[in-house]
Amino acid sequence: MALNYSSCSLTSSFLMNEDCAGMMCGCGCWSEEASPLSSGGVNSLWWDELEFELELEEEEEFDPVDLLPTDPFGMNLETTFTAAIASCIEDLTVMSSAGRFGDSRDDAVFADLSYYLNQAFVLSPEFQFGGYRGVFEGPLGFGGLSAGEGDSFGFMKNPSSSGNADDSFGFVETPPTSGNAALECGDAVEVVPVQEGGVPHEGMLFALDYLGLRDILSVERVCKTLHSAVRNEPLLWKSIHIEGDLRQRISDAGLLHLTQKCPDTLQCLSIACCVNITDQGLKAVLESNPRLTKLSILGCPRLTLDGLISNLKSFNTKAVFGIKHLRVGTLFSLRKEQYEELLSLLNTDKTQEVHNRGPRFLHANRFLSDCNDGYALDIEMCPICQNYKLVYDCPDEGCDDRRSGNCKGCTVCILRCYECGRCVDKLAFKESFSLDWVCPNCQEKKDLSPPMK
Amino acid sequence: MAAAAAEATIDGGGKMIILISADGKRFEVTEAVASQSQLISNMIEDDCTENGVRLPNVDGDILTMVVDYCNMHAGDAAADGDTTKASSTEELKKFDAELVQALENPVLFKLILAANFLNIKSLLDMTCQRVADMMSGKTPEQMRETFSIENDFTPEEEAAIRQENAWAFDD
Repeated sequence: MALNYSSCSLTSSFLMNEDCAGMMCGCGCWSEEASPLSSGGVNSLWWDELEFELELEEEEEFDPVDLLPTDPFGMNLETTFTAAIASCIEDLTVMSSAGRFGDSRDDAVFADLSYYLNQAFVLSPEFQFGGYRGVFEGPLGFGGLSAGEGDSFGFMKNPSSSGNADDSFGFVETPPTSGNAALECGDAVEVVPVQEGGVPHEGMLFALDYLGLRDILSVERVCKTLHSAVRNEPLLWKSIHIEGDLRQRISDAGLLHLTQKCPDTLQCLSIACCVNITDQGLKAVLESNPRLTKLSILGCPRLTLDGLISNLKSFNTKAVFGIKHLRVGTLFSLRKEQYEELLSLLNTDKTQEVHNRGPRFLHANRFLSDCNDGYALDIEMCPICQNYKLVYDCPDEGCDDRRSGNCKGCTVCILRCYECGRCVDKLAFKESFSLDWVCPNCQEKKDLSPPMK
Repeated sequence: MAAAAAEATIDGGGKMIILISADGKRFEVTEAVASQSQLISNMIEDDCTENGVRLPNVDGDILTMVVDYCNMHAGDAAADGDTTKASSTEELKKFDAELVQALENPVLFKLILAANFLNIKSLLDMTCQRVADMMSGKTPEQMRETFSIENDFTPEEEAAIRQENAWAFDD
């Protein structure tokens, strides 16, 4: 074993280099395990005594390392500190004898020795637990030790040898590869244990767009890389729709946090049926998101009309574009002045808007809160009762009133089928369980179709 | 030689395109197959595929999968009106499902990167959806475990983020 050859140069090296000695002492204190020399026959853990002994021994030309059995406790050398030290020494010796330090520049030898030892003690524990934390900057977890630009440059007098130091370290059997070389060689990723307790793969970030809001919030808590990936991806935060049971959970503070995760990006916000959102909460959100142009507040019971109007007024003073599309649903019953005021607060081209309007059907509206149906404000005056409400068109091609343009009105003036949205006045209709109207056609379909699971 | 091969035509009449992976493996595919990649489709339009298309970002193993996928899906657009389409659609679905199900995480991620680089939207959607499905509904701890990610937050940082998102979670 190479240990035996190393003794002379090693002891003399230790004795001549204070830095190194101090470091060894530190290493010894780090861990009880880390006492390869003591386990091999040196009597004491303490460096002073060790040094003393070594001195004595040197005088007697007696080398304690000769006493070292190959594997005194039958341990697997490859996985212990003993192995780390042994490999260091071995490699150092090999290198020295190979003439790498043939110019007898002692300083360089010490420096490299320090480097190896330090590396050994810094990295070995991490190896055993499989964590390379903090060693890698990039998204690819390449190489354990090949990314050897670690913490110990302080000990290196010749940084350029850091790349070469890797192969002499004993753990890596591949030819010398610096971090950069490993990057260039794409297959290096497969050679070393990828992602062993490492950073997320670059490809994972592409999947973020496919996740729901709650999952995104979970992802944010996984690690720093994903956290910043989530925060710095404007596409995730351009449009926020609070859905599912998050609607019951979200509070003013939660909403504000959510809309500020990626500042200055939010353009479309739907807080439909968010029962805890108040005027104050909406005010804070509007103030911090000047680029917001689409807002849906369908079924938010704690929002008031006065609050909404004053919020929109103050929003318009600092908004980039102002709200272009507002959805309030059946939230308020407005008087004419209020309706006009609300409409005036929206940033719309009134003449353009009328042209863009498509027909609206009762059923469809449930799913079309995406603000893309051409309406600036979803409520309008019902032509029949003159109230400001949601007004629907008739989807039925055969409806006489539709052709004459009269089958347009709020849900009070014209009764409509809950399923298809057609007018049911002139048909034999049934009242459904939920007190909504269902036309015969839909009822038939319902009866035929298997019950929903 | 590459040029000659690229010029060669098969019975179907399509021009052949040579794709060269990062590790030098060569794949010969028809233009219809290759043009599912928007990147290569653009190259074909620009007429710069004659000496083969080098894909320095894509390993041979991954490119094999991509080419398999494109071969399977090449008929997609052309098969309209084909009576056997219904069955072939099912086969395709099965093929797709098997393709992504069987993959190890690192390979899956590489496939995502390749699909993104080559700009094959359907493949990107499919692979990303697979990863999203694996992440969906999991706690941060479970995600770390699934994807072998280390938690590098300090306890303080973690608590702060947890606090910020606390409203959305039960714990």
